[in-house]
Amino acid sequence: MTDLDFSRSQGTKMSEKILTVACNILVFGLVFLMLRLPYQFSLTLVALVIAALLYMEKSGAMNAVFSLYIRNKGLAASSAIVCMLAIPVLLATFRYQSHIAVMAVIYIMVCLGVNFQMGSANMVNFAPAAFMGIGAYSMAVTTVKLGISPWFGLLVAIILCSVAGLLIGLPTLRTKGYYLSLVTMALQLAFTQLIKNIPYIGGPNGLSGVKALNIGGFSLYKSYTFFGMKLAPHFFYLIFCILMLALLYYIAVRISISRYGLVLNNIAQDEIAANCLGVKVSSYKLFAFLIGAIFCGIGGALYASLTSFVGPNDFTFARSLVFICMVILGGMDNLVGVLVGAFLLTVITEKLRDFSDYAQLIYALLLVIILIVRPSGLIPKRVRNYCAIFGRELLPPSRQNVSEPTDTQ
Amino acid sequence: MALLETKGVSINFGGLWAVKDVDFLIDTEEIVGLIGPNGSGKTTFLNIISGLYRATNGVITLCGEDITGLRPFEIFQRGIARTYQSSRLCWDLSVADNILMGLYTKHKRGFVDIILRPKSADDETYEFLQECMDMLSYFNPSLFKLRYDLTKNIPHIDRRRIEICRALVGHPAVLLLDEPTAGLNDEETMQMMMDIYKIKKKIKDVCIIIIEHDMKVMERVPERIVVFNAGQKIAEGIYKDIIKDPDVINAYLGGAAV
Repeated sequence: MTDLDFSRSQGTKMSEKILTVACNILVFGLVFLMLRLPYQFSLTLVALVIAALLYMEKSGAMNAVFSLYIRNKGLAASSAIVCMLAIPVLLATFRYQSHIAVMAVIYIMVCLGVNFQMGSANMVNFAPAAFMGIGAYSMAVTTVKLGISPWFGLLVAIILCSVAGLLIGLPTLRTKGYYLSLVTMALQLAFTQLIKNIPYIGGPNGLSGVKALNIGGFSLYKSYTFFGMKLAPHFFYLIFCILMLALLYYIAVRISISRYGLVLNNIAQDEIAANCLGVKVSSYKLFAFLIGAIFCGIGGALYASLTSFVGPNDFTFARSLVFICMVILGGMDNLVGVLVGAFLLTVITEKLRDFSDYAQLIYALLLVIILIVRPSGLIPKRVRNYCAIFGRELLPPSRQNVSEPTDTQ
Repeated sequence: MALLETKGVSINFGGLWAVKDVDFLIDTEEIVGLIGPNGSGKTTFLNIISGLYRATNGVITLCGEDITGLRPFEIFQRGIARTYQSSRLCWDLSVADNILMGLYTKHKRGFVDIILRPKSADDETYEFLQECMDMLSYFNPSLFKLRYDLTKNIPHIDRRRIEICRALVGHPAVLLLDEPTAGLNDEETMQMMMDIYKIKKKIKDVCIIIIEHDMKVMERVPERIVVFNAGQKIAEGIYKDIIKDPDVINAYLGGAAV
């Protein structure tokens, strides 16, 4: 988008606002249909959406949509939240579909966390499931073993995950690239083994009876009946998760457009240059792990509270790979891409539950195709367009600056 | 008192003294050139000053403060900025982003501000970007239009300028230029030379240490030249004297060159 386009658009046009809202309604309509339809139609729709995304990216339509949203960011954000909240209402009576929706929201949270390390700072962390596990087990132990409120469990999850994030982040200060990935891989495998061998938290059997979050005795995960209509137990839980996601997404966006995101990008591309520009590289690497771990931990705690059961098999290396695939498929370092990737892959996995023998095959095939067709993901990363972010353009050079020095030579 | 001073600075790489006992002084507003044959320790010397290598022996002081053994980011914070022989810009970031990194240490707004007071954090970044753009336009006004282009799509000489802008935008006390004309043709070399004059014009009290092989540049730009050979300083003085020095001719210029 050039400055000219931008200044022209300043006279907020009504048609543009309507277009923004219409876009949001279309997007969430598709999301609803993908969740609601039976698997044949749902998966066809997923394939069409992927094709459409590839086409839009190629034709530049995606950039137009992005600039439309950035220009009307307030309206886009508020209407997106309203549309998102319409989904639990539309899915109110569908138990399984609501479950998929909650899982998608939780996975998106985890993927946003992974993106800090993998997308922004280019440190491939193979242990997101371990972080998620730490969050989930914190929730389980506080509610089942200690009998304290699940809200406290969420807090414990955040604290423990930040500690774990810092600890697992420590090797990153010494290792780079493949070696770093191997270290995190080893930690992930060690985590699963460790969980299996601690009897206090149930060992291989896991812990069951994790309490759902509640507000003043009003459980968020319970089947309520309204006007004779039996709601899915996920109804309020989904609303809560969506609001939580909105908060986390806001934080992720702010980090990625601020200097934190910029510094992480710089470290990813040239650590030495960043260091010579006054950046204490080690603290930013730890920051990426810390914030990523907190996102994963919140996702894990919400997951435990949803399924009311945690076991070592939920947080294996394979699960970590799934998160990494989601980020790669969507587009590294593009938050919208991460959102899309995580959602689509969740829908594909869940809708293929009945054919779980083939699910892995289709899943892998899709990934291979995407990596060949578009290695940078469905929605690749964008250049920060500050002019759009700030809502005002940078001033062109003043006349005095342009004048050439004449007295040299 | 000298602005930047090194006393007996040496570095040993597994038995080889890449830089040995270098005493070096530079004052405010001065431009000093470093010349010497390949492998004579010029870049190593700059790397020691900027903290990338830790000197085996010797003391480095900046404005009287001992900065020996500080890490690169601490040295930058004290006012020594540099460019590199082969460009170290981030290719996948925009021109604006690359230069904005030069003002990283000036940011006052912390994490809490970024999340809870987005307006104030954004305003700060906007001010800084404006500063970056002024600096960029000062060197090449046509680059302003390309500010959101990826750096990898920018012509080579402009990349050099962007790198200089990035180092200069935070108003350092010392600017280290490591072969700014490497990979440029004759015409571009002249342009780059003009740019170095422009640096002095823009920021009067910056002192510049410049490594260069192009003798045309060395003749005109630096006020004083230091010659390195095999890690040691073999001569120092103004250009006219240097090119007559028999040691220098022997080591670097070669008999026929002058």
